[in-house]
Amino acid sequence: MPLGRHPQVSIIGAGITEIGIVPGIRPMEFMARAAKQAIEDAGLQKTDIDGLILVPSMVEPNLLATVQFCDYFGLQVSFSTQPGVAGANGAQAVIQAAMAIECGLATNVLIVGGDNTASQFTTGGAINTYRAFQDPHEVAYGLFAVSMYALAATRHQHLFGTTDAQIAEVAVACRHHAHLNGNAHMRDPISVEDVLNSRVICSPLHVLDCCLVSDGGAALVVTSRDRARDARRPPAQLLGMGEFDSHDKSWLAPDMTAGVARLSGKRAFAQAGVTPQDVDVAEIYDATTITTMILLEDLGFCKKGEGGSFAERGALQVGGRLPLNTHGGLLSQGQPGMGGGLLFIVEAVTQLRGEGGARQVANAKLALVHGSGGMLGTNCTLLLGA
Amino acid sequence: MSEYKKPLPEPNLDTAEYWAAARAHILKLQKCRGCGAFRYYPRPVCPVCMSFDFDWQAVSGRGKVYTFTVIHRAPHPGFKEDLPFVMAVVALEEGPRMLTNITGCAPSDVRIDMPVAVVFEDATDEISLAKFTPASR
Repeated sequence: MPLGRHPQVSIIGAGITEIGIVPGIRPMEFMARAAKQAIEDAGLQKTDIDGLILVPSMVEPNLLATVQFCDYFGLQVSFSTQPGVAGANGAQAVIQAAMAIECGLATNVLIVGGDNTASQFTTGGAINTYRAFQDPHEVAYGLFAVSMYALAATRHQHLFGTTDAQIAEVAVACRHHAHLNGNAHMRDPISVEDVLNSRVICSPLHVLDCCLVSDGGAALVVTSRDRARDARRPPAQLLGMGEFDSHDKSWLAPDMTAGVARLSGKRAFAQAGVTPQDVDVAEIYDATTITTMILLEDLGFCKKGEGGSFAERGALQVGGRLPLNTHGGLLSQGQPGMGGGLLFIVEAVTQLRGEGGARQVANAKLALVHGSGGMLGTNCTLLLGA
Repeated sequence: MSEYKKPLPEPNLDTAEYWAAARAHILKLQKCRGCGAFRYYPRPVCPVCMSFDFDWQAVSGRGKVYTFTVIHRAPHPGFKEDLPFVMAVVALEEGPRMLTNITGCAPSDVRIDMPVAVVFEDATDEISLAKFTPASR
């Protein structure tokens, strides 16, 4: 392994707006509200922020979105970037912040994302911006976001005998956690039966197997581990990080049911010197239920093909073997555009601080966050410790 | 022919030859002159060996279903009358995979590893689409 030492950075601030249907607020206002919260949570002044990583809005994109936000919010920075790995944007932003801080380009990096995807788009409109579904080799055949994951699900069922009911357990766990979470788009508990009775979008995925389209914003402040010693709130230490990217088009995935998250996870675990068995809580991108199930396997929480049986009998719920998406995930807390990945990190920080309330995992000391974009084509894994 | 309601691909510089062959109901892919690999989707560079030299070659049109899904919600209004329809990934004999539809059988008859063969659907005067239907081997 080429990675010698841990990154020496910590997350010292987190902010999150209301997530759900929140009309009347444009993307940069969600970003500004979350940013203000995160900076105040970090105990910093806005003038202490000298790095900016902005997860771009889909509703109002801009090539110069970072400095557009600097104008809007009043910042000047010595490092800025917009990640471009879709669902992995949130986790990659932490990796990029670590790089900037370790290289001395910035000292306190603000990571922010926000969007009004629910209020501004119809469901069809939002789905069409998640990918440029105008590709000449896809558009005529009926490809859309959920259908990409359905292709993987069909093959996973064929190879491993995974059942619809097992896949649905991911949705049940996420909704259970959203119910316990005051801030979530969909909070009414659901059962496996409810998932299976919801309308089939593309076999074998039902409506309740698919993530929401929401409004909202989130932000983080990352600094060096040294500076974090004086932080106002308990810092979350970045113990390990890894990335691996393999493809854009789902049908060009080298293997649709076993992906390169195995490699991003391996790098992160090796750097942190821990194993999947040491993880107390996992926040894993859930574009659909099957996405998360395949990632659970790829990351090593269970063997390839055993995600179905792993998910059964409440294993993924708080109190179970591996509490998953304790905020509710994209499936139930919501997906406010490309910044949805940041919600997983905000939740990991909340859990490590012991502030999860009704959804707190007892003794949460080690959290895994994984973000993935496209059809498992981009992958970033983080290990955070209390 | 009657008006085609679904989204249509737009040929570009890289794909013009592909669509011209499709209009003649021939499935033609690029074969790399550097390493011999076939590739799809069409692009100038070989993703295996980086060669920019290639020939267009007709392929057998035979393959197997790698995976599929039965779509019940129209991604675009033009698909409504086709529901439910099968979207699939077919692994061609020559190696590359293609995203496509399976036609000529009920959606419930489609199976992974099912042998299929290409058929062309004439969407407009300019565009014919490669789709696949169950074959004997």
